Amino acid sequence: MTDIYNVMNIAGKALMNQQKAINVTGNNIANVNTPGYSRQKLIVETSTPLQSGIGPMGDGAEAVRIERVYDRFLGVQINAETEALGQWEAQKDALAFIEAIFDESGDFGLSRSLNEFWTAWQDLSNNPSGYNQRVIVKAKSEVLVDTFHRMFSDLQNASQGIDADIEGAIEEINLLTREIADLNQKIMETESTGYSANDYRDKRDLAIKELSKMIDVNTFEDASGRVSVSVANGQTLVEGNTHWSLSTQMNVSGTRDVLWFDSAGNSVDITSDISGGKMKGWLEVRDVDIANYLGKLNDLVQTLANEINTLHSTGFGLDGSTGLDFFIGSTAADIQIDSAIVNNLDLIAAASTSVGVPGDNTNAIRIADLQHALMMNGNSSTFEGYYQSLVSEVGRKVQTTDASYDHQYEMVAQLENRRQSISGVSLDEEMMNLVKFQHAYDSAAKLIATADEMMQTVLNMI
Amino acid sequence: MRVTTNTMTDTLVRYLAMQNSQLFKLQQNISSQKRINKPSDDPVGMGKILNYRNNIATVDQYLDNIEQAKSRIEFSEMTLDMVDETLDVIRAISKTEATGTTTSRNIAADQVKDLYNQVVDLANSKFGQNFMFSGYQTDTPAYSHTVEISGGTADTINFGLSADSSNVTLKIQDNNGNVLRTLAPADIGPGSDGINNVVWDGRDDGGNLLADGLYIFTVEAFNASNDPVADYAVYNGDDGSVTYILGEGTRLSLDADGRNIFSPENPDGTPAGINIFEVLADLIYALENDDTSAIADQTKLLDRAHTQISEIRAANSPRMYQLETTEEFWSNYKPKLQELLAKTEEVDLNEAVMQLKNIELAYQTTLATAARIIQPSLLNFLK
Repeated sequence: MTDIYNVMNIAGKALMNQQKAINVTGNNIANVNTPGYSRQKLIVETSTPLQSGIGPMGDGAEAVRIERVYDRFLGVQINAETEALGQWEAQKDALAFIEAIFDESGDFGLSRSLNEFWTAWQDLSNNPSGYNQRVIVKAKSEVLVDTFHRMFSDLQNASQGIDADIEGAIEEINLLTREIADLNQKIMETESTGYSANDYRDKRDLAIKELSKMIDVNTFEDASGRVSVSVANGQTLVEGNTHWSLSTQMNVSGTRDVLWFDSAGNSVDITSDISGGKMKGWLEVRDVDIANYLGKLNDLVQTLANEINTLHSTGFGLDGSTGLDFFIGSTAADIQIDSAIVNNLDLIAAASTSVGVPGDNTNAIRIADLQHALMMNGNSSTFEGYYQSLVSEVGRKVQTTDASYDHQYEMVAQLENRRQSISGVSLDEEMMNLVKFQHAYDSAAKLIATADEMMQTVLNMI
Repeated sequence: MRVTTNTMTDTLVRYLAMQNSQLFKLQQNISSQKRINKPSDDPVGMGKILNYRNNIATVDQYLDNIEQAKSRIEFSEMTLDMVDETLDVIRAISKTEATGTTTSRNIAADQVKDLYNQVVDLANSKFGQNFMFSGYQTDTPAYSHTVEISGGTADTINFGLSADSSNVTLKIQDNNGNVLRTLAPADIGPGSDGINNVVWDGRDDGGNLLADGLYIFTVEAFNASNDPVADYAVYNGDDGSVTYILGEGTRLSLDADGRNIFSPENPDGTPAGINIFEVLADLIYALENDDTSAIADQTKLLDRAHTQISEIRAANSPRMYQLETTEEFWSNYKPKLQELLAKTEEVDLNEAVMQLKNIELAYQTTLATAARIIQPSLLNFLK
């Protein structure tokens, strides 16, 4: 039945609707810069028409629900690409530090020390019994040994720096999983009333995206709106409102492993199962790249020490002694000049026969010749050449990682733009909506005023 | 596509950041004058740079070695020149004394003795800290009356005599001239014309074993008529040579065996040329004994000695030539390496500054555009 009260009713509903719409618009405007916010729309539907004498009559509109404008598939894509971005970013940053260790652009690195080591032996060959020449051989050898030590400890520091980053990230991951679990609970409770929990969902999506950047995760949303998150080899991080933590532990090689703890408190080592995110990037640099570079450095040291020792022990010192090694130790960490030689320079074996002492310089020449000997890389490279290609290798790795990072960054930026275009708040649009709803509000208010006057007129008729 | 405010601002920020980083890179290049400031700037180029630097440093070392080799040859040449001049003086004296009266011969003998000592000193010349003509035994004088004790055993005492003598006394001294042991003729036995070897147990007069080291000895010998017999020094070195590294795989060996100059020997030890010291000692003996025919003989031998030395000096000439051509080669090679290094490593300033200007322009344009786009919004126009 349609009457004036109905008009009031319609106007009242309209007023409420526009008020709600302005509220939603206000919310959008306030959250224009909130990260992860998806704009919300008020969904208004026409009310069920009433039966009137002349057929169905519209009964105004109802605000049905508030919807967030959101592309679910895009969200999944963004998470996946953010995971890769995290990995490249972590690798890029870690490798930049390592590149500094091999930075030879200033000419103060291993390349110079190695070259001066060889020329010192040539100087010795020009005056095998000379005290100054022996002092210089010892000094240049000490510089070489110190350079090896320094590079080793720098690589160690890089490795430890990565471990510190991993520990920090683990804490962040644990915070995020706790947040996701809490939000799961809130969303489930809110949506049990039948309405979408827009703001909580936005927050949870943001948390999942940040989590993806850290470590590779799989997510699954169940019927009641809760998301379960699993990592690496299927270990659950979040299920319902419960979350499981990750932790780290020092292993035998002095680096940290990532552990997952189940409900009973048992730990599972998931380090080798991690396949994305910053964690993967860090682990890759620490366990593959640093190990590779250190391995090559150690190869260089070991072969160099071996070859020199072999020649040196067949030679004779100024005091006639023979059979002495020049270097002790065989890795970049432990190589040293034999302490007997450090204390007595006469033991440096420049001569090749005992009767040739002191003028015979054949052994010094043999050792100096090692500079050009192809001892490395399956007998195809000199010591200097081997190090040069190691430096190039580091440079290339950094270059390709930087390029991959830039590419991935652009990719994520494009996806973000797309997300913005769907879910982002456009202030101009909201301004327009504001004007639109305000006019509608004014009109609805006018409608009420009109209905009120009509009532007055009727009452005055009596 | 729906473009929101955030899309525009985010994109602008990204591009500004990109241009900033390009500007930063150029700034680094220009300030350091290098195109390659880290290995990742150009990995292959970095490897080449290290290679060039190493090569340049190695070439410097070769040039250094060549300098030293040249110095040695020059010094050797100078020394032998003085030896030759001294021998010339002796030859002149000897020619004069081959004939004539006897009164001047003793004076001549003393003169030749002094000149003999000069020649011995020249034979014992040092190059730096090392004796030049002793082969590998660079810490031992080439020709001198010295004997070494090592490991508690004394070497054989070697010396030469210009005539037979059954009255030879040896006095072994330390560096300060203190006589530590006197070996009497009875201990030594008869000495013969030429090289003599005497075994010594290394003990002093009191029977104590002396410490390891080098000792000096003097020889006093008299003939049957109790006239002095001149003695001469024997070679104490070995046949070692001095080798210099002139380049990768290129070596130059300079002979350092003094015998080849002063007392050539066959491999079996028999004399193979003129023993200059023996000739001088024989000359002294002949002068002291007025033996004119012997004097004349020694004069002829001195002529041949002059030839012997000249041949040695001539042999140095091709070696010097080799050193100079090698030096020239490296001196020409080095600037080429330096040029390659510069080309690979250094930044072309003109190009870099041009690029800087371009990017600056782009940057400023982006900033200006940003200002125009992100400022106005609908709010400015709503009343």
